[in-house]
Amino acid sequence: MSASPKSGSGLPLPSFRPSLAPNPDGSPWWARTFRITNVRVVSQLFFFALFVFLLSVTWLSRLKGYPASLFLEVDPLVSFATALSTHTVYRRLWWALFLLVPTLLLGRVFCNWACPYGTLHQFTGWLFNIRNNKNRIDQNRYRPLYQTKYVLLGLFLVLALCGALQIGLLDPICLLVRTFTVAIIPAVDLGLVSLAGQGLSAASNLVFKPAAPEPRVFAGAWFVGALLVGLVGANLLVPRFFCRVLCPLGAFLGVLSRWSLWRIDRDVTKCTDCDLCLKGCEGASDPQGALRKSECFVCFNCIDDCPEDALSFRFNPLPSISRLVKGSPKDGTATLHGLPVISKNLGVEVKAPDVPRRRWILTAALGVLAYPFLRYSKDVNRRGFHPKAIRPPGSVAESEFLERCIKCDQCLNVCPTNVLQPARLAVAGLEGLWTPVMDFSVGFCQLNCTLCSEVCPTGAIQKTSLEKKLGLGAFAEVGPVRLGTAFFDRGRCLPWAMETPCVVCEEVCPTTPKAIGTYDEVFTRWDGKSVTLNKPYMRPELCIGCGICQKECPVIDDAAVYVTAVGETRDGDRTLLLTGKKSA
Amino acid sequence: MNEDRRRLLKQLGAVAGLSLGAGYVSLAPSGWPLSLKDPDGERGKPRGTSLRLPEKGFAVDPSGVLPHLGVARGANVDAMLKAAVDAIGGIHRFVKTGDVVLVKPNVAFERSAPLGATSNPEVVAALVRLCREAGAAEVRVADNPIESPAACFARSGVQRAAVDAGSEVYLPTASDFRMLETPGATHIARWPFFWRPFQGVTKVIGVAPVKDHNLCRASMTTKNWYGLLGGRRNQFHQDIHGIIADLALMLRPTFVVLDGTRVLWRSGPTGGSLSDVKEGRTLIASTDSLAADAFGWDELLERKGELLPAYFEKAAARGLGTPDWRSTNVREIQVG
Amino acid sequence: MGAAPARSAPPGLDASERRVLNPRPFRVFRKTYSVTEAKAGAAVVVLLALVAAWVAWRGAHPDPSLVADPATPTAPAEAPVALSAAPARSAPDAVPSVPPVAPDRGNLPVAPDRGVLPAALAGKGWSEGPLARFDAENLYVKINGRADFFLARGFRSLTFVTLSGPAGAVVDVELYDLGSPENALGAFSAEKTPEAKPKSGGGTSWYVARNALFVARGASYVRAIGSDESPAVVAQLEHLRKTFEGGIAAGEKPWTVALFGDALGLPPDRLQYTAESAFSFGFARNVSSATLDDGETELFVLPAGDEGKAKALSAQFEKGFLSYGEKAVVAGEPWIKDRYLGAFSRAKAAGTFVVGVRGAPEVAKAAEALAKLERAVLALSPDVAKKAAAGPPTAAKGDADE
Repeated sequence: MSASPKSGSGLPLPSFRPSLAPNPDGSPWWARTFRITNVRVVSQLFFFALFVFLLSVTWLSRLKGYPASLFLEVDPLVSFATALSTHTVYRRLWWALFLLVPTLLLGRVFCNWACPYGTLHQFTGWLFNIRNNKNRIDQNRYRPLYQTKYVLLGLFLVLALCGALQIGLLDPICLLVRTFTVAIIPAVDLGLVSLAGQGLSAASNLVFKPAAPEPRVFAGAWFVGALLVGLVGANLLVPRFFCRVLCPLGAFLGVLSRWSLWRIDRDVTKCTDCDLCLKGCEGASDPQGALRKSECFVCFNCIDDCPEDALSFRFNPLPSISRLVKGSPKDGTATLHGLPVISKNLGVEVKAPDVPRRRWILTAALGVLAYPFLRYSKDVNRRGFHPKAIRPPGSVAESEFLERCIKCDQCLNVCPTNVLQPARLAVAGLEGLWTPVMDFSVGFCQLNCTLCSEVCPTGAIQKTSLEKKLGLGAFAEVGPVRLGTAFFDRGRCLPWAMETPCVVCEEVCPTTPKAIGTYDEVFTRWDGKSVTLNKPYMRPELCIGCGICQKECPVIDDAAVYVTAVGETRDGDRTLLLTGKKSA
Repeated sequence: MNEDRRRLLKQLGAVAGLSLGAGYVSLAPSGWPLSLKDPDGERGKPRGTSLRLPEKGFAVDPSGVLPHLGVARGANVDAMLKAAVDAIGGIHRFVKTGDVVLVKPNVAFERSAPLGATSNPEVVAALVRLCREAGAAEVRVADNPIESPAACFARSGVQRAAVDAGSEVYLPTASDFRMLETPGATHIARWPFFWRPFQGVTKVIGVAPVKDHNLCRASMTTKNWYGLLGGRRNQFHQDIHGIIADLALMLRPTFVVLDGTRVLWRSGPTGGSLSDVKEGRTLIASTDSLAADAFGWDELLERKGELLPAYFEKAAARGLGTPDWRSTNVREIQVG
Repeated sequence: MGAAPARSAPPGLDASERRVLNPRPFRVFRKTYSVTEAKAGAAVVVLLALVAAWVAWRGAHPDPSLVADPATPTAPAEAPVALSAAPARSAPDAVPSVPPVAPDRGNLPVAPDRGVLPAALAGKGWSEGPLARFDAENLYVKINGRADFFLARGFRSLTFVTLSGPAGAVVDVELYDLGSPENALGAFSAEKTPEAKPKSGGGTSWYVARNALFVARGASYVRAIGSDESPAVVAQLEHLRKTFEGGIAAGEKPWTVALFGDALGLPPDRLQYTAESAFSFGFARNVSSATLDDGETELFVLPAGDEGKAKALSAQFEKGFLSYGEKAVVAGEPWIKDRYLGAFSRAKAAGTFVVGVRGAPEVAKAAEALAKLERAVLALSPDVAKKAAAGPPTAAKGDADE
């Protein structure tokens, strides 16, 4: 755009035309090219790429020292809510300060500069934007619906205080990591691997999970995928639907941004109340009137769109100007600092979220009620744990686990054997929905692997060294981490029930000494042939519940050897044997 | 009127064309072009393409003079390997300039090399270098482990050793398997085969550790081909000896290297304790994998006098080798 | 927030921009641009570059503990099993790289008695560590994989002690009480490497293989494995042998020792004893065997109970040998020639016993030895025959049987 926007008549000009000529206002060309909204797009692309990159290095052959869970660890809602539920700040969660400080100074910059989920929503809205400018302006006005996110935030925080951490259901980082892990990455890899199979070898370099022997599968991937389509699709109805209506992290940052020192400021002596600033307003924060600080995403689109240059991002602007205005704006006689006031609207700032006090009380009451509903559902309760709720190695006891797990599913993402699965309602109830459980019909817990404990941002899976997992060295007294105990179903076992030789389970058993032994027997079959049967049995004091026996059992649909959670070492109440009972 | 008639004719023509076309593709006999006819549902079933390995495998012409078994004892892996291969004719007998060589180690488990559950990475590296020096255009290293491939290759040290020595490592992914036909095999006449690294390969060399095995009693060079198969391998245990004899039939290598630098003499095939491993200080190169394995059974597992596992007999009955290694031409060399 | 002040079309829009599918989606309406703004943008870009550099730097500096392998010999704790913190000792020339720590921890028995282990095992400059004992129930804790070997040979108990000597040298002593001299000799000769040159005398059979001493005396089988081959270790091994000779009861001489010794002049260290499934034949139980000087011809004898059973059993052997060989009549005698090895085998009834030869390369010598053995067996007194039929005691409690 080389000419003044208003003088443009005739054919519309292409929007990006490289030109080194100075701008009409005399500023150099780069002041236009490197204006803040363009830098913002660069930042969004950068952080989205970083996010995808970190997801792709969340894999044994690539992890090296990368901070794979960086986005989760700088998410202040994760650290605040886990601090409420556990009264501690785990490992790297102090990194949330890196986000807290800019929010307290500049407002919700995260939402429109760094959040990968926000970027996805904004991009979708932009790509499928079929509105004219007037419609866009109307779509971006504030609506009372947008206070829903504060209600959700309050509910989640009260629940966290009670000990049930549910922020992961809607926290955008947890939600997006989970969506990538469970739905997007398997889909992308499916496509890339089949392209590579067609001979396009370049595709194989882009695969998220290289050298996974089988395509990764996840329980309930369809639902996670459908949720993605639904939430992203909602942008066509309400722009930034998720960010404005649901996002609890946005709500948290919105509450914090009431103390921010900078904000968008409107000069009432220039503003003509044309409302063009609403055309690109991402947060629906009313820049045309009194700016809602808690809603503003600091996207700066309003500054780009103001034909009067009435908007600017300013340090410590006055929260109210009505006392400084002399005269009446209604009859056009008002002046501010001697300049005539053009705008009819003298409001400049709304600090706090627009949620009535009684609604906050309702929120708290809901949270207090929801806790017993969730926790006293049988499956996640101490008294009624599900036999298949087998947690990854290093997990803390179940009640503490539920205080920590944010359902981000990074552990599922890094798991090399695909054994970790998002828990379904049947296994873990609503409270444990999408938390990691092991499904040994899909994979097994690899003996020398502790990657899930490395990437877990909150310590639900405590950082566990290999020595600790295997019970070596300093941990010899405590013994190895046991995930559960394997049981034989003699009615389905080939040597026990079908006179057919097979000892796959004993062969693959990785413990030393092996937890599976065999009774060896020379046996005359029904047809008179002599066979040697190695009938397996379990030595429970040696079994670590890794489940490789179940995974490799040839009775694939309902394995003749299977692991259940009893005997897990993470909880002293769930041991199986009297001997060898050790407090971890 | 003219307008109407033209329109009617056009419409009739379109209807006739479409219905005739649809009738043709659904009713034409299956041999005809564009026919989709499928009266009993059989034609609609997927027909996977299958492949076969070369008729005589990857073996070179047999020699009546050269020993079948070269045994080198010592400590320097490179020198031992060279001596063992020299004993059976030297690397140039097997690898010619421009050959694409596949080296198949045993990396079945995620165990570090000293635990003896996997091929010694030094031996793999030495073999890769030997092939390189003989002028191989490309050397590939591939295996389909039991545990997750990347982890197995990394922890065993084979990944780094193989790459550093100048080969390319192929880790299996889902699209890498094709149905392989092995005529005459009892169980695996058709079985998914780790095909991708085999594309364009002219020579195949197996390099397997000497391991005790709970079921087939000893896992050496013949059992090593297990790692080239995919699919439901956990059914193999129902007739493991038959399967190993089938493996010997399926893949006839250029030669094999029996890696006796370490011997997993009990708790196999996984091991896991250093006390399960003893130093073997031996490398065997052989054109006859049954003879090499029998040698390993007698001299490295030290089970001389015990009856050889049944797969030896089954494979020998197919003419795939001579388990009685003493009757073959053996050359033993002490290196260093 | 009251009603929006201006609901009519904003003045800045021209007609085309009021259309759906706005042809100028990138148009912005601002008139002035700010150099300060661009500078702030540049600062942001610098910040992003710093973030990228930090991520790359972290990636290049992995936490070493993440890739460390606790099972490699260089790691401080190499004990493969939590319960038995002793180093590798099974192969005679395996060299433990760290001194073993006291193995009796966890649920191992505390302060066990010495059993038949003689006192004063430690020679000059050596000291004895704590003692550990294992029974058939927990033997696999100590020697997984090899436990079945001893359980099949009448295992009663294992007494384990570590002797520490000068300059960090260590000798691990394992004393297996196998219940009978047959079993002790059987274990001794089964574990012997072909190169070993055992000596026998005064009820003791023993040999030294580099850094290890193996002794069979009475019902005990002892393995003493040193950390190296230094003179101190070798001297301690010699001290141990003498202590065992004086400190362990020689016990009754097994009838097989007399049999093979008197008839064929074979030393007791050649004797093998197999309780179950000898030569991989399910029916062959309670078999004593010995190898001739050629190292291949194996003579064996087993009690059948009575003469009828002996004939039936010898026929079973014939059948068993035929499964990997074919009939060959040599010098009028029916032999079976192995299809692969070309070796000769046969079995025949001798009174209430079955005697036989296995794996003989030369028929003539084998026939001669077999005849000698047969004569000796027939000359055995009925008392001995009864005792032989009972066989040596079996393991106190094996986990091999259901």
